[in-house]
Amino acid sequence: MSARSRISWPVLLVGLVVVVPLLYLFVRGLGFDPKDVASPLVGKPAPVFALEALDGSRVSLATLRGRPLILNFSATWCVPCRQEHGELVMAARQLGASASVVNVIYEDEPEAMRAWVQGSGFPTLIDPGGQTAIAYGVYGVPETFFIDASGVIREKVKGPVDLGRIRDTLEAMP
Amino acid sequence: MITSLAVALTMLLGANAGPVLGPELNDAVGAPAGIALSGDALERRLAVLSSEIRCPVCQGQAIVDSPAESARHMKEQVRAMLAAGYSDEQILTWLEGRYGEFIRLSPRAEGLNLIVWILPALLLLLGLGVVIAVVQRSRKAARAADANAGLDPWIEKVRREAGGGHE
Repeated sequence: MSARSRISWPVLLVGLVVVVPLLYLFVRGLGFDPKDVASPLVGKPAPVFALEALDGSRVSLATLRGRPLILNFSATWCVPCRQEHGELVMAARQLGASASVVNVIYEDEPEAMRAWVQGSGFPTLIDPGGQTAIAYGVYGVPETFFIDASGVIREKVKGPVDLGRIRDTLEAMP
Repeated sequence: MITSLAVALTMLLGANAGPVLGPELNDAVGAPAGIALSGDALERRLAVLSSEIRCPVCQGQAIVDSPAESARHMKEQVRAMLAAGYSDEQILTWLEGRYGEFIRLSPRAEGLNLIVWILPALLLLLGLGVVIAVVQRSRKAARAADANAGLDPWIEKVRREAGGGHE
């Protein structure tokens, strides 16, 4: 019997039908970031918080209502956050009273953060036990939530935002 | 009542812990459906439930196994919710409402997810079927060979007698 006649075409076909789609899914999956999941909070009321800022004042979601809010989670150990911070400072200056920018410390020491955010022009909040981060479903930093004047989350951005992105997102908000 | 509960938990967890359970918790999952746990029972349940919750900053690791600060914080959150009497399903639902389904280490067995649950078993059955078929076929072949083997001495004898004159 020759080796050629040993190939069973029906078996090969069934095998290929099973293996090829799995291989396709596997290769496609390699390019995905499993954490890049759409936030279920988009379109929902933002979770409330009332946290102490580095300057000792108390900032709550309720006091920020009435204009769009850019809620940013960051830490000093996060390199992209440093790059993003300058953009947020510029955005806060340009937006003035038309929107608020608020920074929440994510898994970092308030003291480490103090020097970094000095003169930023917007409050940096201490989040004890990371509860606000959990309430907002933060996977990592930086993450930025765009909350409209009525307190509804309209967009969540993973990774650093820049001035252009901030402006575009605010403009697209109802 | 929720506020007093939050205050009590805050005191329990230390002054710096802040309010663990927000006022939105009941809006999202309803009133606690289980029994308020404490002591060993609480720790046991926490260990089990924490093994089903994905650590947000790690890859494929449960918060029970992760030394990450955020995993520790999430465990504290789950502990507070168990202590307040929320059921496992309520806690998972609440986390899912924030993080999406990815926060569950094993996906819910419904909809398209069923593929993940059923396909391996199906493929295993298919493989088993193939193995059985192959084994049966080779047994049949062996049996056929055996049947011929019984005839061998006779065939040999016929050959010898038939061909004897030519040797």
